[in-house]
Amino acid sequence: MNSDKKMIFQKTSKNTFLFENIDSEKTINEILGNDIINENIPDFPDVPENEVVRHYLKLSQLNFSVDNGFYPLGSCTMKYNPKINERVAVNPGFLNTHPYFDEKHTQGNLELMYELGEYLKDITGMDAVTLQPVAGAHGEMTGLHIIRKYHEKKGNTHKNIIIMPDSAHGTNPASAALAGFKVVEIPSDEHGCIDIEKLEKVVDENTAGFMVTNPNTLGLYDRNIMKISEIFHKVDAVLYYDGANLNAIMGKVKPGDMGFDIVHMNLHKTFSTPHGGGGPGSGPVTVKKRLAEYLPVPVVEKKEHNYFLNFDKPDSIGRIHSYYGNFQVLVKAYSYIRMLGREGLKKSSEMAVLNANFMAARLKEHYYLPYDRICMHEFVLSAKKIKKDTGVSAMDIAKRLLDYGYHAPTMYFPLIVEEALMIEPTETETVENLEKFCDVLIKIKQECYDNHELLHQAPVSTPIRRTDDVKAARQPKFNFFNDFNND
Amino acid sequence: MHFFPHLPENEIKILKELNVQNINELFSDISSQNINPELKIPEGMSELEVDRLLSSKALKNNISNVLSFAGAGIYPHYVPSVIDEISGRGEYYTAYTPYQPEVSQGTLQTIYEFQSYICALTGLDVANASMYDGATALAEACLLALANKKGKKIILSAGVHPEYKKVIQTYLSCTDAEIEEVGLNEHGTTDISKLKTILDKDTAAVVISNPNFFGNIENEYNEFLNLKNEFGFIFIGSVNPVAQFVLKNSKHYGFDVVTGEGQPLGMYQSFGGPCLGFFAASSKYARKMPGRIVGLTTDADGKDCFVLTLQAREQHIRRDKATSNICSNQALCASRATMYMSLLGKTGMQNLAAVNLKKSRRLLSILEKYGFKKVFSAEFFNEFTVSHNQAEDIYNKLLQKDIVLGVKLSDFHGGSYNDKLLVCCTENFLDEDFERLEKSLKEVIK
Repeated sequence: MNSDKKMIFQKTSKNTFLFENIDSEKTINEILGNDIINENIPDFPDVPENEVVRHYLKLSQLNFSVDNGFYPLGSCTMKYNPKINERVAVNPGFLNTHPYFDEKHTQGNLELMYELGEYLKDITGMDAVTLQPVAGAHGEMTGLHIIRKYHEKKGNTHKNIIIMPDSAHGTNPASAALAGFKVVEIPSDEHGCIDIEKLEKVVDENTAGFMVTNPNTLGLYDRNIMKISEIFHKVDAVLYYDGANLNAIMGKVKPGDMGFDIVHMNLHKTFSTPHGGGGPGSGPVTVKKRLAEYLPVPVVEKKEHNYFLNFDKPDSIGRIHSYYGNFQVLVKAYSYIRMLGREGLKKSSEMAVLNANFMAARLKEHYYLPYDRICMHEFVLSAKKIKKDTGVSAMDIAKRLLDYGYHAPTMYFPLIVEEALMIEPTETETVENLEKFCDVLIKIKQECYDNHELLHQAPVSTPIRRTDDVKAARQPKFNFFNDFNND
Repeated sequence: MHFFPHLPENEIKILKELNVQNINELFSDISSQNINPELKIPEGMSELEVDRLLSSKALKNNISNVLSFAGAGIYPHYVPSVIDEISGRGEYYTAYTPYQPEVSQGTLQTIYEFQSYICALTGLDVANASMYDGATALAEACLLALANKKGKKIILSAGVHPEYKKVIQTYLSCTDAEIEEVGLNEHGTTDISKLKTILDKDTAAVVISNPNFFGNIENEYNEFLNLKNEFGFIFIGSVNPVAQFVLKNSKHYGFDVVTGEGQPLGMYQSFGGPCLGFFAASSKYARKMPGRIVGLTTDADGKDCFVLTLQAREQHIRRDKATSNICSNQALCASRATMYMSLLGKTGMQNLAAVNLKKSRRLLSILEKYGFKKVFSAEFFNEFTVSHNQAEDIYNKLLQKDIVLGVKLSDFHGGSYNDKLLVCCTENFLDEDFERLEKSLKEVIK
């Protein structure tokens, strides 16, 4: 490694953080003895506190984040994360509660969870809720287990197929497989929506459920959704709403009113809780009444003025987390919902959709927009023609954006659009930011035709250049203590 | 309070540019019977009002005077100030999963360091970027075993955390796995002679916890290693990372996969979430593992750098054939744990372990003075099981004084455990805390 980019393991000193000034080694030996302790304890580096602070502060400066700038990563809803959420979540009154405390010491937590559950039911148009799933995919798994249990209880064990569109996010088929289902994908029609004719051909007695986002991953709202839900309900299949794109429709339409039976939400997308570089998130699930008995245990309930955890649910799918979910994330989402209120939530979705349409309209003169109609909170451009003309790919364009101080859009997804660039501005950006970003994308297009080599080389001004991913996979190195054994 | 910055004139300008009359035209795909439903959510509030509201919620927990010895998976450790300060930087917590390595080296290197620390702790070759929590990490380890062995049987030690067992049951409920449990012996550790009687060639995995749920150190590593070599099952351990720093690791036990709950490494109790699942395995399972893995490589200029790697295992590539459906994990918690282990270093981690050992024995000696007995003869780390014929009564009376004397084991294991409590003690207790406990015990036990 270069000397300015040392890893923590390459720094050493004698100064470290101590809890009590005792002879640690002697204490451990005396209490546990040789037969129990490891004679070769792990060789962690001893680094003084100020050097630890500098090391991770320097590393943080190599990251691009929402706090750094515009982050139009499609389907990920990188909206601003209000700072007040962070403050209220670290109140010691929340932080120092143990999951097994007596209810007299958790009434505040339980009240907050109960109320948050009520809000999420209201937004999604559902009757019951669990806050236990800690990520979107975890919510999906929960929902699919509920579908399985529902059919089992009705004696319909032959129902083993989950249908989803070919534009579905990868977690959808993976979650369905994890819950023991077979996956059947159906193609989209020329409007980017579900092809009803093809759908009617594949839905039959063995169909257990249908998983879909609406708006879909192209950012388009499926006008036929009511008809689709009818087709599935006719064969007693369960409709699952993947809430990845809920930011488009909060307060505008409830998935429950579209005919859905199960919804998962991503609080780290729609409800402004930060992504943390990949988590912790939170993926609550709401369901219609007839599925409520299958929700994971425990469920937060209210009796007169007291809140309690109800474990007595004999038909529950069981537990899916050690405790009750990512509680701190729930606090942040609660704070966000209360700040915005019902009007603010609705307006957020309206502004997210307004911004996406504004950008799509500006950019479609310059980039191919395969599905040219009113979009919702995001839209997908294709760099197919640019690639044919100049050899510059969607990847090259995305990488060039990094040079201009932006995060890249989502690339090559959904899989049904060639050279896809999926752009989601969110509601929290100013008009100036949106215009500037469009101008840069237009400028980059010109660069493609004027100097394609520059695009293949991009990025040139980031902390590192393009990475050798093949080498990373073929000569795997993911553990310093093995990788630098001889240093 | 809201976070959409357009002035009304901006809105009008954009609508005009889009050639629509009003915002609802953009939502015209939604059927008229469903559009703009009524919401019952209260009206918005200012930041100040929300700040007050949330403070009042936290106050309702009424815990400002609580002294708690509860552990059972979530432990009251001290969180050094450095952890909040550095992990609280927006560059860490407002970034997404590091899909663009050129602008994500901070998160990627931190996670690489995390993986290295977990490998060093567990004695294994490869660790992933984190799982949701200790329970789901363990359940995914069982799924890995089922996918890579012909056998269908998963044997769980009765020393595995009861909630973890429930999560495993849920995760495995859609497979044809058979879960069997092996009980504990009189020392409070896995009954090896019973284990021998249920092991067979259909056994895909054996799962133990170290220390186990009752606090006991499962120290028969030679026996486990021999059984593993004889029967060829995948051996899975669920460990406490602080204890693991000084206890024998997979190099002695022969674990193929080690998982655990990383909350003790710089996370607050926060009602059990966010947690930090960790997952490490021997190199032959590197390409079978769930979750993100960060690898070291070079960039176009030949500079060392980090990327997400071995992605052919994952859901966004492999879809329904993926090794797991996990996408988001607990990355910020993994970053906190990395900062924590770096801050403490070898000397600090050793000191942490020593202080935990010392103070938990101080707690035991206080309890023994008041008639409590340690139930099991096995050695313990920072948590142990005690019994008292008035356990429930003492527990409740102490609770009136805001002292939580651990967790009641009857909550997990039913009536026969009515007289037993599981208590823990960490570095986070000072003389005044022990004195307060002793004074209160004196008052409630007459």
